[in-house]
Amino acid sequence: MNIFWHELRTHRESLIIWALSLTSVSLLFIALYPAYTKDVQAIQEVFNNYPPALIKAFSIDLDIFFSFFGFYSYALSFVVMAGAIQSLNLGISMIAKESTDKTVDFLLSKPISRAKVITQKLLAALTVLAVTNGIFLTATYIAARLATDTLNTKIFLILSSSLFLVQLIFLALGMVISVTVKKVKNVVALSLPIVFGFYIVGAFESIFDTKVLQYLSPLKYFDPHYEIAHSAFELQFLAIALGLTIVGIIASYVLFNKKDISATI
Amino acid sequence: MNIFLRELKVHRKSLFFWCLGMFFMIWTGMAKYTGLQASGDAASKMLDQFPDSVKRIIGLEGLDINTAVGFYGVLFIYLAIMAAIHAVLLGSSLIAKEERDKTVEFLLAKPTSRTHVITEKLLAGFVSILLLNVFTLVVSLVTVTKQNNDNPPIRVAVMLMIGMFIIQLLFLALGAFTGAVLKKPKRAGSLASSVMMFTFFIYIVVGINEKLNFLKFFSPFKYFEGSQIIINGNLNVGYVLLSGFVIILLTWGTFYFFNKKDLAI
Repeated sequence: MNIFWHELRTHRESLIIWALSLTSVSLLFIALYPAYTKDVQAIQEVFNNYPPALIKAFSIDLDIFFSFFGFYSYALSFVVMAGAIQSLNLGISMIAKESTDKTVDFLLSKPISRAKVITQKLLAALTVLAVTNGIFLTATYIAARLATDTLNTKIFLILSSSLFLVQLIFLALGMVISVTVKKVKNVVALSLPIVFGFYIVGAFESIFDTKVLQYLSPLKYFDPHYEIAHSAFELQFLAIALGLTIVGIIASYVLFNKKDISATI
Repeated sequence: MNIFLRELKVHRKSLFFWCLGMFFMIWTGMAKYTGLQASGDAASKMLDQFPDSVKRIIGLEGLDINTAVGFYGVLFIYLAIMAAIHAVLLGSSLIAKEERDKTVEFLLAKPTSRTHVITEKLLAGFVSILLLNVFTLVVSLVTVTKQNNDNPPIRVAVMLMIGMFIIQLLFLALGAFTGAVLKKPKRAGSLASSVMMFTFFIYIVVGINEKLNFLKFFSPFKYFEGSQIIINGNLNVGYVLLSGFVIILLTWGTFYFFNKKDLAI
C-alpha cells in the first residue's frame, strides 16, 4: 500500500488548495443569492402577464430558473468545470508523472504488477476526489441551509453529486490519455483546453437549446432543470457517465499493461 | 534570431489547432445565429425582458442579439477566454520549458545573454498571439459579414480584436512572469492559469451583482467587454493605459527575475 500513501502525500497540498477553492466559489455564489432574488421579483410580475403557450416555447421552467436551486446550479456549473480540471489533472499525471520525473523504471522494476500500481494510484486519486467532495458538500450544505428557508435535501444532494460524477468521468479520461500519449510535458496545457472546450460546447447547448450537444459535453450530463423538476437523475446520462468511467478505467489497465515504456523519454 | 525561429517552429502545430478551435467556435456560433433568425423574434423579445442580472448571467446584457454584431458580442467572451488560455500557457511554457526540459545549461552556456534569450522568446510569443488574433479577426469578419447583409462591421471587429489582443498580451506577460519568478518552474503553468481563471470568475461575479463593480479592476475580461465595446464603439482609454502599464511591469519583471534567478539545471 505504500504507493497509495505516497500518492496521497504528494497530492496533499494540491488537495487542500482545490477543496478550498471549490468551496469558496460556491460559498461566494450563495452569498450573492439574496441580491439575486430582489431582481427576480420584478421579472416575475412581467411573466405573469404572458400567455402560457409563449412561455412554454421558451422551454425554461421559470419557477426553477428563479429559485435557489436555479441559482445554485449556475454556481455549480463553474464548480464542476473547475473540479473537472482537478480530476483531469489527477488522471493525466497519474502515469505520465512517472515518465516526466524519470521514476518509471525504478517503479516498474519493483516486484509489483503494473495492475497493482494502477490500482493503488487510482485508489489514491479517488480518495482525493472523495475528500474534496466531502469538504465541498459539507460547507455548501451549511451555507445553503442558511441562505434559504426551505431546502429540499434530496434535490440538493442530487445536484451536488454531479461534481463527483463528472470528476469520475474526467479522471478516467485523464487515465486513458495518460497511458496513450507518449510524452506529457505540460499537464495543464492539456487539461485546461480540454475542459474549457467542453465548457464552451456546453454553454452553447444552454443558450441555444440544442439537445444533441448535451451528449458531447460531460459537464452537461447532469442537467439541473431535469433534476430539479423530477428530483432524480436523468437515467441515460447517469448510465453513460458511469459507463464511460468504467470503460475508461478498464482501458487504462489494459493499455498500461501492454505499453512500451522507455526509461529515457 | 534562431531562438525566435525555433520557438515559432515548435509552436506551429499547437497554434494551428488553436486557430482551428477558434474557427470552429466562430463558425458554429454564427450558425446558431441563422437558426435564431429563422425562429423569428419571439425568443429574442422574451430575452430582452429579463432583468439585467439574469441577462448578464446568460451573457446578453446591453446587446441586441437580433443583429449579427450583437449576437457576435455574446460570442466574444468565449473567444477571449480561448485566446487568454492560449496566451497564458504559451507565456509560462516559453520561459519555464528550459528548466522543465533540462535544456537550461545547454542554452545559457551559449554566448548569448539571458536578456537576449528572453527577448527572442517573448517576441516569438508575441508573434504567435498576433497570428491567432488576426486569424480570429478575419474569420469573424467573414462570418459576421455574411449574416449582416454583406456589410462588414470593420471598425467594431477591429476594436474588439484590439481589446482581445491586449488581453492576450496581459496573460502572455503574466505567464512569462510566473515562469521567470517561480523556483519550481513546473508550477508556472498552473499558477498563471489559476490567476487567469480567477479573473474570469470575477468577470462572472461582477456580472451578477452590480455592487461588486469595484472588482472590475481585477479582471481584464471586464476591461474589454464585448457588449461595452460594441455599444461605445471604442475602447476605454483608462483600461488600455492600465493594461499597458501592467504589461510593461510584468515584462520588466520577467527579465529582471530571470536574470537574477538561480536556475535549476
